[in-house]
Amino acid sequence: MKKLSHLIFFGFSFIFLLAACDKIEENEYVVFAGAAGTWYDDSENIDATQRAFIEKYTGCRCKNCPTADSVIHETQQHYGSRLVAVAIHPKGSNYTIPYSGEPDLGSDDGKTWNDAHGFNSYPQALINRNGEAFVPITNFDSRVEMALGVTPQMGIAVSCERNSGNDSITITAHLSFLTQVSADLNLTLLISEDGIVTTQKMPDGSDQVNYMQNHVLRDVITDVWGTPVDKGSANGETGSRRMAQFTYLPDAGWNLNQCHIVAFVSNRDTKEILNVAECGIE
Amino acid sequence: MKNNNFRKTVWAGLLVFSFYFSPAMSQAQGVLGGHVTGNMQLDMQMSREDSTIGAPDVPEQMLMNARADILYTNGAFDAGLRFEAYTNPLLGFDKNYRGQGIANYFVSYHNDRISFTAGYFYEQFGNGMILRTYEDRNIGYDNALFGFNVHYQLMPGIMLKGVIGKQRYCWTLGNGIVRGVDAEVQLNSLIPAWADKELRVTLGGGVVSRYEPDTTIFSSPGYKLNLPLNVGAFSTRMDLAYRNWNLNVEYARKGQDPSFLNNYIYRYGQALTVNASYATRGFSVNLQAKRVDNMVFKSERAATDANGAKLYINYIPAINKEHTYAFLSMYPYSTQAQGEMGLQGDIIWRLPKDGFLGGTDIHLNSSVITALDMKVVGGMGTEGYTSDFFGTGDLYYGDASLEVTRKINSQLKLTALYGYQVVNPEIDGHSGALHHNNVVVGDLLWKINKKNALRFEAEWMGSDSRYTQEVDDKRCGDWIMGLVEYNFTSRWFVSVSDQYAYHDGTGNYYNISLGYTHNATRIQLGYGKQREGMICIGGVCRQMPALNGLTLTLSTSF
Repeated sequence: MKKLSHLIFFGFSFIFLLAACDKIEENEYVVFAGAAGTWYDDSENIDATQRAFIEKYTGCRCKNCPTADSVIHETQQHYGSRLVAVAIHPKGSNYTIPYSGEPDLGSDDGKTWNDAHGFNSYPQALINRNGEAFVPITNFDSRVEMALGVTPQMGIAVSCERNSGNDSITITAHLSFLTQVSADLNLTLLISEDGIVTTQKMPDGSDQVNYMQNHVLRDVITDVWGTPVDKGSANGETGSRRMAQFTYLPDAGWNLNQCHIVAFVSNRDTKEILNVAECGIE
Repeated sequence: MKNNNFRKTVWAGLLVFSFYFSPAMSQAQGVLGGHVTGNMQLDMQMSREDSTIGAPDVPEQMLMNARADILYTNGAFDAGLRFEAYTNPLLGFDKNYRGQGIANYFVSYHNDRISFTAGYFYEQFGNGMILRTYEDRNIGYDNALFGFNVHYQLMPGIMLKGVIGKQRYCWTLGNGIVRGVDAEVQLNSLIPAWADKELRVTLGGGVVSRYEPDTTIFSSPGYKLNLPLNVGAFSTRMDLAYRNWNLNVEYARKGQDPSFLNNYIYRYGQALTVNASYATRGFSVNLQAKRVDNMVFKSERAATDANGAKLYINYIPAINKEHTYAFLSMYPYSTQAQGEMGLQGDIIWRLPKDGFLGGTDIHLNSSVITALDMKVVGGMGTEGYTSDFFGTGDLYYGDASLEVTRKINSQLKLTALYGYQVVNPEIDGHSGALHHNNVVVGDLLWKINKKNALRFEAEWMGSDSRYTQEVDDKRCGDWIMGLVEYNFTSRWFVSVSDQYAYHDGTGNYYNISLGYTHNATRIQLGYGKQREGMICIGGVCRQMPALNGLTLTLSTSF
């Protein structure tokens, strides 16, 4: 018995030693983070509407997720473009394992967000990353109202167009400082796709084929936590405007006619989202 | 936050449950069959704006730090909690302490072989170079781990320790998860043939690892650092004791740990400390050396020390003397865990009783601490620098002091001290050339009778530093100080002191204190001015802003 306890202890110690330390090779200290954009002063007047970004964490094997889909869909019908939704299928979860022969909607970027928020069951949602996670089934309208009711600090607009001659798209984000924002800000761009058909586990436990998955996160174009907002010489003074341009090459397997670009500005430290905008790909 | 409150409620419930349903609750002694001990301390400050010394306006008028520790012991079972209130924190304390609540709670159990603690706990491996959690209320530092701590006596002479948890920072926990194991082997206990040998040998080693989720640290537009999520550190140590001699050596190494405080470089860290001593009746000598290279090890890579030290997993032992007299302690040394080399010698000698100076205590101490000899090879996202192991850089701190204490007769005891310091003001955020200070202290204690004593203290410091408004280092200049302290009826004391920068300096800091002690209860009221500066304990420091006003301290224990 004594020897067994010693063996167990040294076994755990050995496992611990193996897990103790990551080693990064010198040529990998710095890695590509995602598009950073080229920044300019801007003169364009943009819409200063406060919008809300809802990120829904979901999976094709999550039986309560279709209920959340319906609720979010109805809420979007009510609020229109003021509510921007993205459905995140975090890679690595049992709930997001694709059915045999079906497309994998799992996202590594989604997993990074999921792990940072600490979700391990779905559906879960956040509005503007205000720190309050919730199951997006009940009391949804009041949360959206609260998010939309704040005085906007930033105005944001985004547009994108396909480039002729190649498969890339050009994305332009316009930022307007409606009030002085002293915090460091990040701009995050992502691409989502509607109308992906998969099998989905339903609330009654059945598997529904031909379920329509919408707003599916395909890729975060910038770094997963966004690229720093270059405030320019005005340093984010009230009334100043900035513009950033990005060139992005989408995956050939995505249906760009069903894709949207979502842009949001967030506080770099708290991750809270100040405002968001969305556009289709023309 | 809600989860945190829920967790605390559950813990508090468990503690109450433990008290009431203890099997020994029917015993008469103590509470519910066990013992309850505790202590309480309350510090209050009232300060008003004083532009001459830089004392800030305090909108609250009154600030307070308070705490109460309760420990319940019942056989092999312990449980405790600490209530803290910072309403609002005293000047110089981290503003994030603002608030009140149960800041620490734990339950523990121990028997001959195993002990464990669940909740908040403090632990140290070796000298602490890879793990030390502790709290010091004077500097507002508490990096307790919240999790599990296990000690296991594998066999006589072999002690194993394991920890896992997150570190406390004010009212929250750090992002990183800290895991560690440590083993210490006492060869004289383990090997029967060595049991009676005069040479005592203890060997030890530990490993600590921190996991922190990935974050984005941009090195340039579009590029970010590839951060190690698991950062490990290990240490080995040896302690030899032979008759009057003792030797302690510890070496620690840390893996790649790009962090805010090392400018996100990937260089490995290492530290070596050597401590040799000889002690016999009336005489001791101690020599210490250390070299520290990139050993900042925190449980959050982005944590700064902007509001004071926080979330350090490890601790680099200080090797310079912690002076107690005012002018020598005006320039405390703050350990530079990012890189430093140091040496210290310390001799304490009581002269043989026969002879003119018989019975006199002589204390000679000297230390020197320098930067590393560094060659920069890059900034963020590189190895950072190279360093010659034995090379030294700029001087950080040096001092030498000779302290002589002599009991003149049964009533009079005289202490005279001369100290010389060279201080690099950049260590604590100031600028300018090195300060060279000469300090002379005279301290006379007169025990009038069993219940009454008078103490006189006079200090002088001559310095080549000059006060300028640009630098605004209020320690500069030549200083003089006097203090009279009267202890009467064994319970009361009153002291009056004044520090005055009489040449090339600024400030006149007078203080009057009145105190009363009865058994374990002490109350002290003070009024006066406090110079801005630093307070350092074990090389860990806190900025102390200027203050002009009242202070009140009340403490008791039971």
